[in-house]
Amino acid sequence: MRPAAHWLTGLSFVALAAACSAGGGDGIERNPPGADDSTGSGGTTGSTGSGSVSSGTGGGDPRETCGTSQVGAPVLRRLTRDELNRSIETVFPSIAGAYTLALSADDIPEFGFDNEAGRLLVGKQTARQVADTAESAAAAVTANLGSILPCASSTLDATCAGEFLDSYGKRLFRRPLSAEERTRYLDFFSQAASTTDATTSLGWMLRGLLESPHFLYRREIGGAGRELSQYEIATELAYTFSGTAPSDELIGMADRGELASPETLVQTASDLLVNGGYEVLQHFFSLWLRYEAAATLEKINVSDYASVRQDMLEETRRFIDEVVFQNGGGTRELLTSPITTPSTRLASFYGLPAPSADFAPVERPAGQGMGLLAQGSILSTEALSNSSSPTQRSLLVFEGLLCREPPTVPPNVPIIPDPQPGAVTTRQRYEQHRSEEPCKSCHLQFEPIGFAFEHFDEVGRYREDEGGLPIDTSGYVPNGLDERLFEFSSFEELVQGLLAEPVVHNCVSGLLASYAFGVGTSCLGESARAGFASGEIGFAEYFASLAGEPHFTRRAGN
Amino acid sequence: MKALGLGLTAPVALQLSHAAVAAASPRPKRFMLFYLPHGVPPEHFDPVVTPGNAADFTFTASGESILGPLEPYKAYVNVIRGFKYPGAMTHEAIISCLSNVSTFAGEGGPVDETTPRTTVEHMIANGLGVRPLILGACAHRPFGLDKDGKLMWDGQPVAPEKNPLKAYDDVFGNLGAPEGPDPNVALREALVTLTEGELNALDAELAGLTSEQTKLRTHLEGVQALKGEGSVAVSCTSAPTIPAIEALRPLAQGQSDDFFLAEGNFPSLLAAQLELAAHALVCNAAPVVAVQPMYANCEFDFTFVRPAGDTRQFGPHHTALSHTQPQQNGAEMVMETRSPFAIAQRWFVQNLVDHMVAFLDVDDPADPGRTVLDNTIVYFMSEVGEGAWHTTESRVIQVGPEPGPTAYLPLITIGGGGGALKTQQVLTAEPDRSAGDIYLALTQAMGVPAGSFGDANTPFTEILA
Repeated sequence: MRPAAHWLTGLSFVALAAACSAGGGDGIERNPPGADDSTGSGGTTGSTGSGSVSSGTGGGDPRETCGTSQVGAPVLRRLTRDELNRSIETVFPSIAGAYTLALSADDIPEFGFDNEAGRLLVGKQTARQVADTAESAAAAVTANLGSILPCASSTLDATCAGEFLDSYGKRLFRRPLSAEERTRYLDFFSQAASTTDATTSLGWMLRGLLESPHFLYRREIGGAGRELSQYEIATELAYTFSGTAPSDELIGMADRGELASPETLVQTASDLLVNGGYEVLQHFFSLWLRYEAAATLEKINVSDYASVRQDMLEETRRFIDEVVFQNGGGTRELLTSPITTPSTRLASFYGLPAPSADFAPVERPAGQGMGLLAQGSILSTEALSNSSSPTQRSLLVFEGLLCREPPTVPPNVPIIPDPQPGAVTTRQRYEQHRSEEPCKSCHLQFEPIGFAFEHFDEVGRYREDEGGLPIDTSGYVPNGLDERLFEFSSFEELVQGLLAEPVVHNCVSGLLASYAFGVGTSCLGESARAGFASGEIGFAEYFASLAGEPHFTRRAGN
Repeated sequence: MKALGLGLTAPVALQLSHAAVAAASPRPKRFMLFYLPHGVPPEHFDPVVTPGNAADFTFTASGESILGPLEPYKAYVNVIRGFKYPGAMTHEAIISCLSNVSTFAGEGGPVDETTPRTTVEHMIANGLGVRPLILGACAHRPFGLDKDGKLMWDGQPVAPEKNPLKAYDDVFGNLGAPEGPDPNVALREALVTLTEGELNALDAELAGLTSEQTKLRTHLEGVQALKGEGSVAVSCTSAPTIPAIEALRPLAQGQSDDFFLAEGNFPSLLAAQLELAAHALVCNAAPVVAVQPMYANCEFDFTFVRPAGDTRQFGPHHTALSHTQPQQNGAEMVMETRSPFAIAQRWFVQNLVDHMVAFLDVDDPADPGRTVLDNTIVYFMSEVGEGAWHTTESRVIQVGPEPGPTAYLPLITIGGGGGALKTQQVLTAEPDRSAGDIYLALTQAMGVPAGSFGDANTPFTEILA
């Protein structure tokens, strides 16, 4: 693992830019384009001979690599539910928690993220929910107006409403309002003031701002030449690296035209990440691995699971924080770290040594797992209520680390026999299940991976045997039905084998780029990709490097 | 009867065009959709019918009798058999089955989640000029609304409201508001006009960026729909006290989203959502309601429905229960094989009866002398017919040498539909007809006939009075 806490301070954009991926033999390679302003198609997915590809966000192939970074299409990106909430709280911090966020959960693709631009739309339901949210937030702001708009304490007239627009309107639209817009909103204020009091009228004007497409969409369109404006870049930086609306400071940089060079953009991205932006990356991990589902599950044979499942989520968050953020780790460190970070109660539940304090790091005993894939939250999520699930745990690796999409589940799938503790192992039950069609040809494409996890029960506790029966953790990573990427005899060998596969690193970096840009277009983040794959840089550093990519500041033509 | 205004101050009540309802029928009508996850074993579901008399049947003589809890209400029930859904994949069929628009993009192709669809409850709501109340109990996974949890579409995915307390406030929170014209109507209209102008200007600016313009036009339609919301003819004068809501309140108040998706809370959430739906119908505060319990392939462990003394394994609803294959003894199904799955599915029906139908069997405040059930259509459906095979059309089940029973899509109606439905029938369409024909009949019964649903254009008039 690299030295702690200095991963961003030594970041050199020049070095990153020079470390372009050669692409050879590492998953899917696309021929380098003739010009660097080619539009990434997102649809060029070479044959893998191993089933269809997990689309990540938006339909591209996250594993695909190119010689140089591509430039994608112009796009409007509707704020996610979380982004909208944080934006309101960032612009009006005094109303945090004092209004109702009415938006439903975001529409999410099966193998992707909640910020996919193509899915974040405003239909009839969302329009109503936005209106309800705007109404509630406006009520909270006007109830607290004295501290938010000092001029309202004396005379809340059109001049004072104009001050509101110049400060808060600019923050909400992430750019100054045009003269026409300013006039339009002040006219609306005046119309309201003719029928109700001035404070309520300001609330109506604010509702208009919050329901405006200029607030609801992150604009990444550009001007005539498709160069993104300074305000578009400021917005992109703020949401990508801090998950919320740009600060006054960042808008000030846009005002002064300071968001120009790739070096400045990467450094600004790094600063945003360090100063509160890690939550954005934590959200990536929670969606990538979907481990937070552990908090909603029941385990019928483990009565105290309910009392520790929330701790499991916090354990994983702290683990990621320790490995990725405090120590600058990449895929290798994430998958092989010898520590975990349980609460005292959770350590006792697992049978691990007690930490010095809740969620402080402890070393796992040798041979009892390592890294992210041994986290209780993940192992509990990828299990059934009454047993482990080699199928689900296989699919976690198959989809999340190999970026492959399993075959469609056919009808007429026989059930797996019930657990018979002490008589039959889980492995034996699953092997019986896939010994014949229709299961065989499907499950053999991924399921041999999952037996590596069999020393972990349905709640992630290490077990030496299974009800007195020996556990066999050998298996292989299939490459289609007839080929094997590699074989393993243990969980640890599986992890090391995966890390030796370039496709794993390309999958992870491709997913991270898709998450950052909110589109599935391939090859938008190539400059530092090889460095990420080789372990020279970690997750956070690679993520920040994306701010220096051509796609961050311009788009392809119409 | 209390007429709520536009209700644009929070909390916002669901709204109904009084004029639209008055014009549709002299009798009030309500519609409810109930989704049963992942099919049924037919040997435990099919009513036993007296040969030659489709009106003489019992629900209590079919193994575990999934429909048994409806026996006291069978005079209100139609069992509708012999229908099919359009070609679909497996669990995501839920997207297509209520719109009659396929999700199947060809062998090996991606699931078509994106073709705009309008499902039957939204078609009815649109016709009535109301906003439907869409409720869900653990209706999607914690990380978001994905394809297996999408029941409702209106050109866009519609997320069920998972918090019954919030839904209660939305539905009944405005009952204390002053009567008379709402002074905010004009300002709301002006705000919508302001937003429309911005959307149109942005659309023009993005000329040539087709996909982005499409987003803006979808947005524009959503905003314009806000203008169409009318007033509500609510027949209750105060917010009702709902037992399951009150039982949930101390546990759920202030909880995060996780609480409303948690496996352990599922039974109490479903009860609360069903009772809320029933009271919304009784008060006419939401005349179109849908309840989606669980997403299609949810793996909640159903051991909690195991009868006392029963030692059999139950396990996860999807893989351990619904995928249990039958065993056959000659032409007879061995009932025992799928008894646990049947008990689980009967539990849903029992909940529907105890927390929904029973609450509708009361005098209709808006139609003295009749019950709310007389004036309601509850449409009960699943996204597949037979859980183990994912059937989307009628299919003879055969696992032994002899053909077994036919698995139909489990479709029933409950209620009189304001006199529009003929009831107490077991009807079998031959050959397989499009489920869209049922939807055409339902929209007709609700007084808002639709022209077509996908490729369907012939209403199934056998259920109409």
